[in-house]
Amino acid sequence: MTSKTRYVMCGEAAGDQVDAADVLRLRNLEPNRNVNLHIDDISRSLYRDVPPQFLDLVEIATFVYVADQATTRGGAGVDNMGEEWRRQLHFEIPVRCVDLWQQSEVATALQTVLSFLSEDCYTLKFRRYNSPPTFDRFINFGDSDWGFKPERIVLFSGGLDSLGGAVQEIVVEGRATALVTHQSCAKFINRLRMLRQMLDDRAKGPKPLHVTVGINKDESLNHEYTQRSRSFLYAVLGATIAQMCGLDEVRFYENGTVSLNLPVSRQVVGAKATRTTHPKTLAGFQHLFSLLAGRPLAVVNKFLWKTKGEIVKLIMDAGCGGMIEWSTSCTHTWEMSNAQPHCGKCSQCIDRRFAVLAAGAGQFERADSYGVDLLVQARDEGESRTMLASYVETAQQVAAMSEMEFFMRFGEVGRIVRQLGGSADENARRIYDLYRRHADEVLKVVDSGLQAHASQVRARSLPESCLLRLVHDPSVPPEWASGGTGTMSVPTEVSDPDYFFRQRGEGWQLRFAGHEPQWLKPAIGYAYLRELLQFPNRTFSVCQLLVAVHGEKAILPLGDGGKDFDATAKKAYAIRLQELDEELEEAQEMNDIGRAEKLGTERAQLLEHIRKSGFRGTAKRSDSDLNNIRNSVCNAINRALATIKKYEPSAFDHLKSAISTGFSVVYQPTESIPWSF
Amino acid sequence: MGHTRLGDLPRTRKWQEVVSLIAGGAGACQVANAVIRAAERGLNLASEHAALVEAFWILTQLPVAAREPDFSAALRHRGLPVPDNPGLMDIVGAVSEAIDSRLPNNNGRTDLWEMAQAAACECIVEAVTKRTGGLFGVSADDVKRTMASMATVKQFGDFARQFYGRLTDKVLQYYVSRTTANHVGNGMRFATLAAKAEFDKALATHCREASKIVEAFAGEWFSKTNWEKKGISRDDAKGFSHVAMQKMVAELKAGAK
Repeated sequence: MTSKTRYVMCGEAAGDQVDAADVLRLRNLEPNRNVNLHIDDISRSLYRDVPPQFLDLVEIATFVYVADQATTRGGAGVDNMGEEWRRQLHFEIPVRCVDLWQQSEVATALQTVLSFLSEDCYTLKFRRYNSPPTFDRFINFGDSDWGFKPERIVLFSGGLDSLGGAVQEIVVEGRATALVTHQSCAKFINRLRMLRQMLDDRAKGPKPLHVTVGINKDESLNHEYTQRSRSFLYAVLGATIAQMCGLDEVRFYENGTVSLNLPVSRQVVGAKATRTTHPKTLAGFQHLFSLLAGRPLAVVNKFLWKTKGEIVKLIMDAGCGGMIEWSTSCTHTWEMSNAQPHCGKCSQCIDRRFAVLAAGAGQFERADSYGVDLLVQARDEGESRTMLASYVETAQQVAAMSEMEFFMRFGEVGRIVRQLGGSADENARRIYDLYRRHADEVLKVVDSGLQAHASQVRARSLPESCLLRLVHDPSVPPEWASGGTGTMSVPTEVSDPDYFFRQRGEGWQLRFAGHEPQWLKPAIGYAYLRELLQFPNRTFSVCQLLVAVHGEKAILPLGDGGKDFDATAKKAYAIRLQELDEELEEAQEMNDIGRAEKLGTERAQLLEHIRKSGFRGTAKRSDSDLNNIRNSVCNAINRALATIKKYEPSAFDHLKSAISTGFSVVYQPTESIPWSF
Repeated sequence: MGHTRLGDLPRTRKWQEVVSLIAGGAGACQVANAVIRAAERGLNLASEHAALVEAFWILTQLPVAAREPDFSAALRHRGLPVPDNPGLMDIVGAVSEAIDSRLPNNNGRTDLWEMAQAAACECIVEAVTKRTGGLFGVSADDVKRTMASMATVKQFGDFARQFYGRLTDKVLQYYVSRTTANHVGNGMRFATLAAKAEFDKALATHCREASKIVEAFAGEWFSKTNWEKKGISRDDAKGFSHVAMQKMVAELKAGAK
């Protein structure tokens, strides 16, 4: 399967015929409007200053954002190395300044930043608007004039980091600030309203200006929740308002570890970790906006060198700890409720809760405002557990890494060091320092949690899949917990023999010639093999082998698990009984008293077993039954050998040459192998 | 405003075998073997993947450029946008940019591309810091001298081995990390996260061991190609990469040792 290709016909182009299978038509105007951009509370006095290329830019960003959500990224992409994750998006968009957008430098700048941000492949074809909508069609003007022009344009998502930025600008520095918010989820509204009110109340200077942007779209356009292009829309809105206000900077506030985006798990590759405020993304925004503005228009992240915990401290130090619980970080908005605004499972929730606890701000948000407690509640298998385990493990590793080890682990730093200005070496040093501080914060929270819950940890009364049990299990001796060679949670004995074949748990373990032991999934063929290896050179009839392995449990592998004998097992017993009679007769004829005695004992045991099992009646030998048993046993052995061939070819070579199968089965090695069992 | 997306291994038989091996207690070597078999299609694509070729080609150019009188100019000539007297992180950044610029607009980019790019940067850091004993404070002259020293059969073999070992580890962990955390806990495969981390280390060690197969072959190929052709082209690198990945896959599939 190749990457998903989609044609996106926008605005006036939406009605065009396209010779393609999968066309997305986005209409921002009636009739049949399915995308509605609205900007609230813009001052009428500023509106007239919006240049047409920025009006185009806002529409382009809206279409890109909606198409991003309307086009799925496919599955996990395991078998094709994430090829489906990266989509081919071909846009046709009407614009007011077609000559400008067709300029190579502008077109390349737009394509470059979008393709890095969302990791998709973009082609954007521009056509001249026949009748461009005026921008006031998208604007709900505020009741009153702003009365002043803001000094700062801050992108305010209502999350913890952007709250820190707002506090810094409005409460600490008293700047005249415009907070630009993209309202992506209706569930946020009340929480956002509360935050705004609190910021208004605590403003050291003028009350901040709140600009809200919303995009309503048909439900049929909601397929992909990753929304990698959301920060483009955000930045575009910020840049447009900066342009309206004659400012030359747009400010993001995002903590450094999320912004720099080093992978938290080894499966996280490329934009599977967000590039929302990656330095290369911001540099791309800045380049594009400056080209459009015809003057430098900077896009910066003022919290690049701060951890999230440090941001929380900043909020508390400003006396704004009470705002923390009204900020919202969760990306699983579908799980959100008033009582539990955070799922506790997504990377954002995990990051947030660690930061709050590390900063000592636990009193400012209820632990039960998370769907799953960070430290002591059970985590489901899958993303929730993997995310938390990876997060903590990465922190543990980083905390123990030298500078050299850090850069030998995170080659992704190569993308960053030259995007930040200044010396690449110095940037690298700061990145290392940032990640070490973050790792210390995480480990501090884990250590404090272990101390606070020491008695529950010791008593093992916490759920097994909670974080504190994942990092420390008192039932496991320290040498087991560290896992030795990483081959087993239970260490193999130091004096393990070079050759063994044994049952371990539900599966089997095979070691041959001192090689690394191989674990084999449960299968009956291994039980037959063990029986053969235990008695080299002894010829077993297939029935002997069947009974020897299954014994009283013959029903289980063959039958229905009911009370009665399984038909095949019945036949196997009958056949073995008949064989024993024949062999006994032969031994008596040969006057082999020892053999006769042994066979007699076996016959008596078998009859006793049959009696206990309620077998009645006379069984007759049937060739087709014997064939069935032979096929069953020999096929099981051959399947077992085929698996061994995959993982331990030398053992396979040996066993294949030493075992002969048929109605009789025998293991006859040319050299004696000292098997242990 | 950012988040990370994780995934699971598919519920197909080949991948569930990997899951059951991890759950059951299989060692790093056997898990690697099973992953390689399950991911065979992806790895076959990898052997001539443009990212792999580009990353490896750039690695072949670094020692050669370092032997030229003007190192910066020699790097720039090869498409690496470095400043004059580049430090180690300047070179790492330039390598990353050069690989990115080879595939603008993500057309054809896959996760392997990302992994090859990161592996190249990491092995440059390792090669230089291992020889200079430090990361920060290493002068541009030391970086140049160290890179020039990697143009011998032995040193380039080691350099190439680091690259393929790291890349293979990344590829294996790309898959394995989707399931290992599900097997941590009391009575499970990994008693604690520490045990899981040990398993990850064992997997990395196994990849490094397996990459020995590339070492001697790489050093001799580098020396011979440079001598006979007066330089290594991307086509040469492609040919080498194809064989090297085949050797790595065969080595990892060879099973227990």
